[in-house]
Amino acid sequence: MSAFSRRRLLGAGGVTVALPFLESLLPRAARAQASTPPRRVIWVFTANGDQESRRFSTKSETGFVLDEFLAPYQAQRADMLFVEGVDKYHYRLPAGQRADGHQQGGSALAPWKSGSGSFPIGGQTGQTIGYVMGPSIDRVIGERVQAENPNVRFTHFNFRVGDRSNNIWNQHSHRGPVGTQNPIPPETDPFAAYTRIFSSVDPAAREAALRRLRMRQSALDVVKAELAELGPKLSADDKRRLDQHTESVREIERSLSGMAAQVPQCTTFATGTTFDVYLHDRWWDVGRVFAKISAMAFACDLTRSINYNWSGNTSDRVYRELSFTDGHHTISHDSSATAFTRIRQIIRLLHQRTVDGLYTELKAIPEGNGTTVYDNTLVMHWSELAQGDTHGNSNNLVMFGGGAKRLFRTGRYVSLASQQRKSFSDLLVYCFHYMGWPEVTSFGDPLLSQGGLPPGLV
Amino acid sequence: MVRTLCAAVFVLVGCEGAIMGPRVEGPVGVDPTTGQPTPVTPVTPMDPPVDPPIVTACAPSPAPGSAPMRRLSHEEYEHAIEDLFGDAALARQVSAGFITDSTSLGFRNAARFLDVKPVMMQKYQDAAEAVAAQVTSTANLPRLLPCPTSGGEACARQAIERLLLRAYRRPAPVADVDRYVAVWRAGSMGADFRTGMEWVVGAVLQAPKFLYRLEVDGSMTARALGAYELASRLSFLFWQAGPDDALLEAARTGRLSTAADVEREARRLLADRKAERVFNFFEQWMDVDELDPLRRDAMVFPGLPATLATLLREETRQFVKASVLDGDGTFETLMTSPVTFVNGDLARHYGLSGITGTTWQRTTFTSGLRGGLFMNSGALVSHDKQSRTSIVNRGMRVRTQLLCQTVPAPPDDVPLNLGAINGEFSQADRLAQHRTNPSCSGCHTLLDPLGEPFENVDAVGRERTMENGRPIRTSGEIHASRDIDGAVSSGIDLMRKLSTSNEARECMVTQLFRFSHGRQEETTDLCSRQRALERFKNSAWNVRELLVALTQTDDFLFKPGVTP
Repeated sequence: MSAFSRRRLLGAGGVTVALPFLESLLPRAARAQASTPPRRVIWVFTANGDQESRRFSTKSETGFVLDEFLAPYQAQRADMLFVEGVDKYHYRLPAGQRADGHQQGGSALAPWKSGSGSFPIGGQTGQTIGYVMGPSIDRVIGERVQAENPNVRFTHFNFRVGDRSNNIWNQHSHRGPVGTQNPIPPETDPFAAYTRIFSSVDPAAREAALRRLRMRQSALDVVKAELAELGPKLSADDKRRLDQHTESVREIERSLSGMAAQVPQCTTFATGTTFDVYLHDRWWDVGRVFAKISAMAFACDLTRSINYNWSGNTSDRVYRELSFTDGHHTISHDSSATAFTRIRQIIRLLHQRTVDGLYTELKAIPEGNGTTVYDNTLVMHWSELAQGDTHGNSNNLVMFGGGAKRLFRTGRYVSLASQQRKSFSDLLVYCFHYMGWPEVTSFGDPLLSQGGLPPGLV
Repeated sequence: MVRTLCAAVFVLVGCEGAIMGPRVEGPVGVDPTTGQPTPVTPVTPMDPPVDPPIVTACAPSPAPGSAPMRRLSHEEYEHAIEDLFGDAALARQVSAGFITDSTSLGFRNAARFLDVKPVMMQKYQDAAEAVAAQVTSTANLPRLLPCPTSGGEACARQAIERLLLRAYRRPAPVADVDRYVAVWRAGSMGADFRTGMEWVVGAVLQAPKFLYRLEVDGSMTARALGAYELASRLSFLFWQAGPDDALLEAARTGRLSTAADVEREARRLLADRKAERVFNFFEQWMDVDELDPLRRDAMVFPGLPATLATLLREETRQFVKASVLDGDGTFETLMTSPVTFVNGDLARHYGLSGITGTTWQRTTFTSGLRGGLFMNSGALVSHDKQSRTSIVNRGMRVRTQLLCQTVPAPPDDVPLNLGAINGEFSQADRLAQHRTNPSCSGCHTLLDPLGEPFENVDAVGRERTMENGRPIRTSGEIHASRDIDGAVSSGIDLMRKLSTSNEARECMVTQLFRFSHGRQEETTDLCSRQRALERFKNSAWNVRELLVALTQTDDFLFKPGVTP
């Protein structure tokens, strides 16, 4: 297999981006082949809710029948757990500390109160509203993973298909800490993400690469010295941002140490020919490349936590491939039968593309013992709303797939509607349990919790 | 400014953040017995209060609001690279892939969200290395050096001192210079002088003292800003980049120590060509920066120029330059002027005859239907739909961006059906029908009548009088304003009323304050905003004078104490 340098590949412009020799990767890759693969979680987001009444044509625990827009999951229904009646309980948050259903719902992976000062829409009594004030679960799980496994290079990834701009409607990952508005802008260019994550060294140019490494370390030494010098002169808030900068330096340093390491080859894949990732016509291609990156990053144990988004919340993408002329969000605020037919078509398409893309990629990478990355990865599907035309948020559908059966009793439908404990934030606690931390009993603001795990799932 | 405006909002309230704003409250809430959200009753706007005196909040001694550390915005980074190395294309190229910063109150330069997370750290690293390689190439290196490379380390030291003065925006202490000399040694060892300088430039451009606008020169107690700190504040306000040599020299020689000094330099900077970068404020305020990509349905709008977004952005840029920087600079002109700028492609798009070629030419909308910044195509259509205008979004943006009012969230789990748009009813008809629903009218009565007057401009910026064979209706009404409530006959009529509104003028002060200080307004800076408003008023509402006035406030000249 020929080896290519990152610079040579990227310098050609408009060429296939491929890093066949990933020497920078994974001290863990070989180990993973020989021992139990690590567990990971990926959260998959689709926007604007769905149609609550048309999720299942038959509802029973094991005899349930997936209706039209969930049909793409038929082939792996045995691996999945379908949970509806999940309530996000946003109305419990005090006035002025909750945004509208889209905004607050879009932050459901970070179930905290909203702050103020960032948007003129969504506040209360003349106030602006802000981003949620606490970390999202992908961040928290990533931090816990790294605390236990320092060799895992990246805390988490945050990918989004679609536009570049970042606001209260389309950022679903948050860094925290609690009490702080700290959204994490997602990566929207999979090609840039690929080169960032899988940076490699051409062994034929090893000396040059080592010089580059020394140059980078030299620059980082300056950065660290200045950060240390400035810290005591700053306010607590500014210091917090500087500390974050310091942490970013550490992450880069971890990558540098990987650059120099003689490690086994992980695997290879081509991302395909580069294209304008912000063209709506390439939406699915962007999602597919992010899916490839996600699967390979898991396989290489570069991270164990990924926030994967088909769009931001409130997405108004026009699905021309379905011959629609109005945007998704616009259609979702129309209660007519025609509109719901379109909503079902959109959601079905998104799920089909998830199966064709992410699921396929996860299943394509073997991990020993007859398993694949898919079997060792919990996939959690979610949306900001239950249903768009009502901003419904009390009957959310959450689906667990992939390696869900390692925790849940899968192949089942469960309704939490009549249960006391049906909180979305409490449901997230299962993700910690899946990762091997059963001691975690709650996540998020207590107002959003029912004080216990939703029953009947495991 | 607002990426996506929620289509269903129930109650509108006044902006507490406004200097003198009304507040209209409505009962959005939770049923205490069921715990469920309650439907909302429409509210009747309160009568606007009489304007209070302009300056009421000034304490005897300076009491500035907070002054958070600010990382360079991506635009500031780009301009800083351009000014440091004189290569605009390189600056644009290396910053093009930066992760877009989080928007706050419509701007992407809010200090608290300008941080360096891992992805951005790596982007900075890549950009620094690319710039360093380019500007230290054999051909370019001499421009960085004040001495021949044969001077070895002594020459490197001189070059580092010169580079740091501009990059750090203040004279670098010896310790900093020594640190970079060590970097140069490491880079040149086993290589050459040039390589050492490549390492230096690469390190400087990743350094916190370059990436952050630091104000740590003095004590941590409340104090007047130092001369170099003022130089940076001035240059970033007017040029979106660091100071030039003249400004640094003024700081060095003690000619930047009084408010008069600051005003003198402010006027110099404002008169410079680089002041055109202040467009960055206007395009973010008006969401023109969010035009690209401009997605429109080819069936509804066939034959659009492939570069329409770029054309519309340039049109607005030229308009701002002509009305604010080169023209009379009044708020009235900014809000109502029918002047616009087109090249051949845009003229053809608008159906204007007699203008060809690539040169931008001044012209006038003669229809009498439109004028002013908000009715620039780039601003007006930025949140329209792919196949049509969005009356709700346009009205919402008048409310939030031109009047600085706020809108609360609609509750969950209640019907928010807006219905379908089809050939049978126009969008305005549909919304009129919608307003007959009591649970919807509270919001839409306050939004739709501010959006309908603009219906004579379609979703790609062209004037029209008919839609689907029916005449366009442009009448509307202003509700819940402080001083301009009443009927309006058209978009330009609405803009003329806004141009005379103290509420809208104050909103412009507020928006500019937010952008220039990188944060939301606070109670403590009320005096500064009122002082700026006072000078704005005394200048017959001249926007250039408002920009200068901002530099004469306590919040510009002083900084509060720092609590570690």
